[in-house]
Amino acid sequence: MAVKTEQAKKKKKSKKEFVPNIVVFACNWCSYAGADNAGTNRLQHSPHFRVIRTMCSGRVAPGFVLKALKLGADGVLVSGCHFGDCHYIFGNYKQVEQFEVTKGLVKTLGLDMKRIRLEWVSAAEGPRWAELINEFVQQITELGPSPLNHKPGHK
Amino acid sequence: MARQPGRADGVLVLGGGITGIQAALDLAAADAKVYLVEKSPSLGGRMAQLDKTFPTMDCAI
Amino acid sequence: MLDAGRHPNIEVLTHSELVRFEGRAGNFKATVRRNPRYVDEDLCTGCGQCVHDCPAIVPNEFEVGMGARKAIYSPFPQAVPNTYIIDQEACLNNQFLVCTNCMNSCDRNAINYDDVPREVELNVGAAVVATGFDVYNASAIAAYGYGLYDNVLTNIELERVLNASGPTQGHIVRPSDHKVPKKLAFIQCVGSRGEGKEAGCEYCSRFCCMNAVKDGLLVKQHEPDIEELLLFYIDLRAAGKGFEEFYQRSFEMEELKYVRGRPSKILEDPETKDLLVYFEDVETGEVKTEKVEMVVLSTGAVAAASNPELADVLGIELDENGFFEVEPRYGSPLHTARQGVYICGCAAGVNDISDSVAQASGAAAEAEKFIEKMVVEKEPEEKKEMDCSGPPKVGVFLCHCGINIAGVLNIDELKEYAETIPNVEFVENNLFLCSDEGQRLMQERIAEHGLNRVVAAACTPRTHEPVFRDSCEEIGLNPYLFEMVNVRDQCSWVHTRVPEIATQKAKDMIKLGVAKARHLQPLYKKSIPVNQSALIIGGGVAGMAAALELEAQGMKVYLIEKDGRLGGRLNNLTRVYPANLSAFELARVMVEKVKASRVEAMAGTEVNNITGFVGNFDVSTTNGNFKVGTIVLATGADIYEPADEFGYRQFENVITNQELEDILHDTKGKIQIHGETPKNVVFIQCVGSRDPEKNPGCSRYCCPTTIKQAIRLRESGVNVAVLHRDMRTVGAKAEEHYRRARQLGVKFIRFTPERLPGVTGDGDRASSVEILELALNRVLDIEVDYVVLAAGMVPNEKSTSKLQDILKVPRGADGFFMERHAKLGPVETTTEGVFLAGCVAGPRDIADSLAQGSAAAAKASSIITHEMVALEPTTCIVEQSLCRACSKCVEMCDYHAPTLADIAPGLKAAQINQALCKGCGTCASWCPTGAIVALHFTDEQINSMLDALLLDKV
Repeated sequence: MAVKTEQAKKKKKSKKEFVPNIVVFACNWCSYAGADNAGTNRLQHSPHFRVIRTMCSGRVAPGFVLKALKLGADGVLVSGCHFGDCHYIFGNYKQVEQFEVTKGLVKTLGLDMKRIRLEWVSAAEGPRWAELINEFVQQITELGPSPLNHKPGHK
Repeated sequence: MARQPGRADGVLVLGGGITGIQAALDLAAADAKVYLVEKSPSLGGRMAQLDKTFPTMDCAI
Repeated sequence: MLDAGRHPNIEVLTHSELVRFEGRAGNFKATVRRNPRYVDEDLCTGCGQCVHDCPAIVPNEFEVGMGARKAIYSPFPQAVPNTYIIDQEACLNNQFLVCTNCMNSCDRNAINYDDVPREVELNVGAAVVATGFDVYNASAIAAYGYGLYDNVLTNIELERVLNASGPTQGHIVRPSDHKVPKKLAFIQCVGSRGEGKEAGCEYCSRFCCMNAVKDGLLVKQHEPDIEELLLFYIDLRAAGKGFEEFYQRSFEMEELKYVRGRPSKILEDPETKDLLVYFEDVETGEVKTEKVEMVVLSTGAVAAASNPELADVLGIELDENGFFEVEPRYGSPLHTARQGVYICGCAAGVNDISDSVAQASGAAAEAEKFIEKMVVEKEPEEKKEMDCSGPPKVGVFLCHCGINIAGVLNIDELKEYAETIPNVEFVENNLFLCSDEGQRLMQERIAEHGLNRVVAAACTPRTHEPVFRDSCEEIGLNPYLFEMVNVRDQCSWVHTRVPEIATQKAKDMIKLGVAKARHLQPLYKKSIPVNQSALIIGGGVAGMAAALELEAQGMKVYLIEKDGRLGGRLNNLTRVYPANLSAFELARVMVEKVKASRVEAMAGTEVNNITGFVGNFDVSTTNGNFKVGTIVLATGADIYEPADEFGYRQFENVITNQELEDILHDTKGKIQIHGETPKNVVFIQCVGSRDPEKNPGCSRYCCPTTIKQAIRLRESGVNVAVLHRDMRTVGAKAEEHYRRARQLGVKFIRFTPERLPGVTGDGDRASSVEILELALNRVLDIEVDYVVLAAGMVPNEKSTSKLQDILKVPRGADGFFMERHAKLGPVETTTEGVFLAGCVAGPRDIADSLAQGSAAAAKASSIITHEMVALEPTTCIVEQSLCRACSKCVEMCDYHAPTLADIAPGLKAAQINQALCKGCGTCASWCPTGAIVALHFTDEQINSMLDALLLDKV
């Protein structure tokens, strides 16, 4: 039965297409450069995300992710350098630790864990960036609007 | 530092691959004027053609 | 690459060649011919519209012919300079068809069909030759059918196939039918290690073994469906830092099978286009075949075809292989016979990337001795900085970037929107904001409207932020009050097909930019004085080379050595390959040079402690204290001490190669060991190397050393057998020596780690060595007078761990110091101002150590050449009133920038050393009280961006 209502809900939604509001934190040296690389190669991907640049993924405090979700973002992606590639040696490892904290807080908020994601994209991985964005946008679109998203037009 | 008059301030670096670029950057960092001469239309050399490098699998560009 | 293109001291002359080179070291006159590009570098913005409109299509040489490009093109997406070029041979104009498409499409009028070659004359003090190599033409080996069979590729072609932006988007498909091959073969030594000219060159190309292992792993990653990968090889040469470990990891991949042997021929099935590889099974000696669907030839490196011409212009010689000849007198691989002309990388013979990079830095240090450093222009008089304390008045500048942005985004709509954002005072658009004209206009508007924050919606800050910041600074606006919004690379270029949605997105991006800009604060670069002197720790070849280079540049140098005399390992050697120089002579010459120089050399001295940071290290030694600006670690490594392996402790005639070296050192003329001339000597390789338990890495120096010693013994009539796992002839001429040893009758017999040779004997003397001969599958018993163990190289635990503690330079799993980057930073460490030279970072030979010494000197010199070092102001600072001294930040930081300090009696708070902080901001996100502020990426700035985006509140 539950499945049915889910489906029914989805049907309703498709009338007014849901466009997710996604915040992406990208580190300056790898992921932001990877996004640029996608541009240089003209790799078309979904436009439904907004990037905030930080110097290192280690800068992305759980508080930022949480704030984004509380303010109604439907998904948050944090992206840094691959292990061993970090411009600041181990900043990405520290983000892994922080992300565990973030996950705990997201759980407390009662949100689906699929709304947040931590990924690594290098400066040369334009194709991977495009793929990742498409995949994440798809994932969030399937999840539907965040329960905390109170923007008109979303519900 | 002892200055010797009549000496040029430039260094010619022939080849714009990874080796030439490295030499040019080191010279430039030590305040030398560098002329980096490359036969082909772009810098980069062989390394730009490689996909990844061993053993760390970093990207080559 | 980009750095070289942007450095103010580097003038990049691409598409150019040296045509004349006259004069002498310190004062050469070089004439360079600039071949016509037909596109003005200063005007071209790299927008690419011309390519779109060009009708002529030709194969792309960057994709080794597998892709296509136009007649007007940029060699590859990240090319520097990012200027297009017209290929005259492909351009229709040149074929008497009038086409002016590119000229018509160029908004900047950068195209000039009448461009002609120009000659420029340069006055230089020295020249560095870094012209690299050519790839061996695989079609020369007819038996492999390259060029004939569709599915035979070269390793370079495979690299492009593997690349996601390559011709197949990273999919591995057979050229014949575009299907993923199930079974592949790699064939090594194509054009390398040949006997006789038709099979290519005689030397080993060094990089191809590791390249094939790497490609094998990547192939599997890209195409998990691949069932079998055969790698045909003679010796697997994984002789570089971390290479052996990498090779060992490849055994985890079941599909990758190593097959020893060089295939004799390949035949193609004309119907299926599958390939039949014929090879001799080394184990059984029988000729076998394997059917595969694709073959990758590991083509080696040959001397560049342009070498003879360039050698002629430069007045230097070529060696027998066509590479530039190294002057052997110095033992270092960087010198040519002409003073002031230096050589590095593959121009002088085959080298891998990290050795090439180290040599490049070394050649730079050599060249620096012959030039007058530029006098750095004094900053023009202090400019009055604009007052920006009032409420933010934001100016938004929108760049069209030709049609790159304006062709997709609706600029009018963006402009209209930007004007409605609170605090935005002024909005203007420009065709090319980065052009001189665009920048001048921007400066005028800032002054006119009293703007105190600037947002540019244009391309990426990674390339253009410095340009805009400079323009702001020029007119007295603090450069950190500028913010860039990347609506090209990350919007118009990637959302081209949805212009309306892209425009909406660009509005949001501008809103985010303005939100951040409102909270930007002026930041100031601090300069700290540099102590213009260097400390070199370790008086071996690498340390002495570094000291001499720096001294020759006029620097104050302290060289300390813990032993009683300088010279290091060189003191224990007889002859040094490849040129057979006397080690004693080389050591003597260098020590004499050091003594005659102004280098303050202190033997018998050890470091007690070092504190401080780049430019300002306080050094305390057993021989006094001093201050330096930079430090080079050149403390070398130890030789592995065998335990009871191969009867080392048991039999007196089982010795190490170092002990043999001592004996050879003492014997003049006829070889005698303990007074008797030996008849039979057996060498056993890899003792304490390539052993996961003791030392996982390959020690690199031992194979060439054994070959050198074996030749010496064989020439005196001794029967010599070398028992080995793979003969790894690293270094110049090593493969040639290996061949010579075989010709002299030295026997080389292979063993595997599963079945080690056994040494047996009576009492305290070994009498025979037993080994399973794999090729014939029989046990051999070799009678011996002496067994020589080729002992590997291991880190010097005591000195390495002490220096690690003091300087915080990390060590790798193998115990050696870790480089900043295995390939691109082989002599740098992650601790700024601290460099590595020689075996302290891993095993290497004398020539490589000398090159590294020079390289470390170049790096050190780039720091202490300057009187001041400017510190980037985008660091973290502590609001001490909020700090509760939990020390989380101290724990967190890999640069040791935060420390706890007493700020009042009994009151501690964190403080961050601005010279050590790199500004990553990680400590700020961990600080529980918010006391740490990551400047330019503050909580306030990031939060306001989130507010703007999600609450529509700016």
